[in-house]
Amino acid sequence: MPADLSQFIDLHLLDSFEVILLGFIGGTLSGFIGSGGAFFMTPGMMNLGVPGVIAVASNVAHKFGKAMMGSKRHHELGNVDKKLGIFLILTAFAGNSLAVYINDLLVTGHADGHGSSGSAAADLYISLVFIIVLSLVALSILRDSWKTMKEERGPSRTITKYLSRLKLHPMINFPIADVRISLWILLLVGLATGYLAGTIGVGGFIGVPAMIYIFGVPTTVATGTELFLAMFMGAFLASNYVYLGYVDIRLTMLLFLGSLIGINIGAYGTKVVKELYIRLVTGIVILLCVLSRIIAIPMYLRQLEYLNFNPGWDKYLNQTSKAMLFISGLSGVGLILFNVFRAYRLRNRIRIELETAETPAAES
Amino acid sequence: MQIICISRGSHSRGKELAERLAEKLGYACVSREDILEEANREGIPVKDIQAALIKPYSMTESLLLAKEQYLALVTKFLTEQALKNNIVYHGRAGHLLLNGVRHVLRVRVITDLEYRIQAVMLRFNYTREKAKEYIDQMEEERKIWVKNLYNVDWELTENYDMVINLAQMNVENAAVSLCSFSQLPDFQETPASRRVLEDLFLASRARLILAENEDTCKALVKVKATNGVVSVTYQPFQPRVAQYIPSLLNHLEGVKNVFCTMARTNILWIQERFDPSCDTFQQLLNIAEKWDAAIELLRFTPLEEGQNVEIAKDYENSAMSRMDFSEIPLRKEMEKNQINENDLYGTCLEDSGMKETFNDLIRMGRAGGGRCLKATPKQILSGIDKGIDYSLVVVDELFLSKGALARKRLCRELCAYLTERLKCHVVIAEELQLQFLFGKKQMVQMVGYFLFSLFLFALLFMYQAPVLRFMTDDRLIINILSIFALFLFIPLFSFSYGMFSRLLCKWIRLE
Repeated sequence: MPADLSQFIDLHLLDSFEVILLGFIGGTLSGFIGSGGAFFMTPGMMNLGVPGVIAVASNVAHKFGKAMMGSKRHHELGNVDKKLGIFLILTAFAGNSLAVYINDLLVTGHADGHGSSGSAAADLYISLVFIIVLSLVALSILRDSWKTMKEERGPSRTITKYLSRLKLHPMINFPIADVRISLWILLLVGLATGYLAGTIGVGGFIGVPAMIYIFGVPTTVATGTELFLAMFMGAFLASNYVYLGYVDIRLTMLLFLGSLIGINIGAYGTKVVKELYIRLVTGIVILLCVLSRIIAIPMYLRQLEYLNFNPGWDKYLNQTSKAMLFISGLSGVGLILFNVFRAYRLRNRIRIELETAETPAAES
Repeated sequence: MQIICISRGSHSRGKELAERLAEKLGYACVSREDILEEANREGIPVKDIQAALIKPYSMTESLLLAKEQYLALVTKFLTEQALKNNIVYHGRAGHLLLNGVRHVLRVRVITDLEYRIQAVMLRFNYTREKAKEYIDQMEEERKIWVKNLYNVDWELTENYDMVINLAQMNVENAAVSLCSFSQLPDFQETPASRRVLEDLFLASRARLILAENEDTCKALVKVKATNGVVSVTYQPFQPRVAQYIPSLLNHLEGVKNVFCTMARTNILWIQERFDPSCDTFQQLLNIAEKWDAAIELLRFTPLEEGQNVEIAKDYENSAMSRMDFSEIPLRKEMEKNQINENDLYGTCLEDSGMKETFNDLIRMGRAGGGRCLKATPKQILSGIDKGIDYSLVVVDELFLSKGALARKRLCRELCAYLTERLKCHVVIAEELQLQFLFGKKQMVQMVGYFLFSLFLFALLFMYQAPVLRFMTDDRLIINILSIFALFLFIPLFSFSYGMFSRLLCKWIRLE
């Protein structure tokens, strides 16, 4: 059943700027980390009063266009294993459909459940999935960084080795990634990636680590293949959500305005910031995003009548959650921008100094 | 002084051959084990480096630094020995460390599998299957080691001057044939090849000094020496190391000058003649600045095709053809013109505009070293350091004796040849502006993409109420149409705005 027009928020100038800022922060983090960005944009839009399902749907449509551009670039660099992508797509679509079905059911089936708010159940569900998944991702990134600092070693191969010993037939060869993977593991990872992409819009946070840690795929190929997968998942999910009327195309466009500039700045940031710091910043920013979502949970529980407190508090909870989210995003992006502009200024200063300097006696 | 490098597999009798050859010639015999002993004395974790190079994703920053130190130590050890004595080295790929030293005789020794299996069974008391498995594993590890360390295929015969199969020949006869082969003029030291050897020795000593100093030991640097001028490239995230490098290296014996370049990557510029006032130079400087890259110069003088064919025909189907293909034309021409090779090396910088270009690069902080090479186009790889990951190779102003059209075709052929072998972006200079720089055309494109994005944006926001009504309409046909509309609108906007933002970043040099 298509969504109600009243569920779309009125976009004022300030709201529009906030969405552009969300896109910029998400895009910068995405360019810096290599994947993700939705982990910031989806809750950010929810804090602006956009219902969870519309935030996810608009973000998914945005991701479709963004992944298309990224996948094109990675394809030119030879980082896309299309065969691996196609195998993952098989079940990712099933995961996408499952996610869309659950979200739609929670929005349209609210009358039989708790509360009066149409989107509260979906908001709570999306927030809970968000908190569980991203807490695990953030903690594992921080753990990895901590180990790198202490022991100086690369990503763990334990799961890859264990699964390669299991040999769950049929095994499939992927020549570009140079790995051999069981079909069953592939389908399972595809399903999980598709489900999370459809539910919270961050399939890449599962897809990329799964390809690296479970399949043993090189990092660059994992990122390129995930973008290839994200392009198809984005198209599939966007068409599903558009069919149900949940995509707010205005939000999608505003996100593009910020994110496509941010991606270039974030990617530049990776050149001037050490990899360890990239991982640390990513882990901390994600953890703060999770905290921001945790703060919003009592609000949804009250709307669903599981908790009983003064509705006037909703405003404060939402403001605190929003502030926490923006603080995390802005501090992460601030750190990236600080390094980017410092390097940029240093480079320009060196250039000017060199251009005005006397030619040294570079005798040879 | 003569250098003979014997590359051997596990239990392939290479050691035996090397020792016999050294004995016959009266040369010093140096083995990989001697180098390992030296590395262990210096505290370099060779086993950890080996494990990290073989196992994927296990390389860490400290091991990367240790690997650089190990390579420098091996180069220093070999070059020091080679400058003092005639040597026979036997190991995995010593010849690859002496890249550019023309007089190295590179020999690969193989033998039949059955002999090797028997040798392993006898030595370790293994079963036949286990012995075969052991050999396979060792071969695989060595292949990966060489590939990861030097970026070349260990088994590729074009990396050797001679391949000896001991299945059909005994060690004594192989040593006798190598004795006479090594006396060919092509494998004798010349002033130019000694100069290259001295530069390698100097660069390796400089690298070791940086690895041993507490202020620079953690810096990821590349050191090169050209005619006594030491160039050090360091990473942008370690800018402080630049202040320590000159004072550490200036007093090193043999150093004429030291310069540091902040670089994340390298650009190789190949020309027959250089001119610092040309457009390509300015374009390359702009790209190098954007990428934090150092520019390395290679003055390449292609040899005539006629000479090439003549030599190839003379040695057709012989094990010597590869070596002669590159070396003899140079010598023949030199002999014909009575040119001393040292003069050629010395005048290389003077006559080709290379010195001026090099000085300008130093002034701009972008110099990445330089070298000269005179060989056939297919021999160009012998002048390129395969251990360096070049981001870009630019080919320009080559084959100057040919007509314009032939020149263009030959340049394109050379680009294709280099792309295939170096696995990096190789372009001819005229493509630089189009692919990597921002000019008038890009400005027009940027404005065009911006206006188109603006148009789509304005269209949506001017009619946002009808658009939202259309997208939430519950009629099936409208739902399907809204999917089509989205599939048209999103790619159009993301492409046009994405291209605009990319060009904008290119314009402000934030790329």
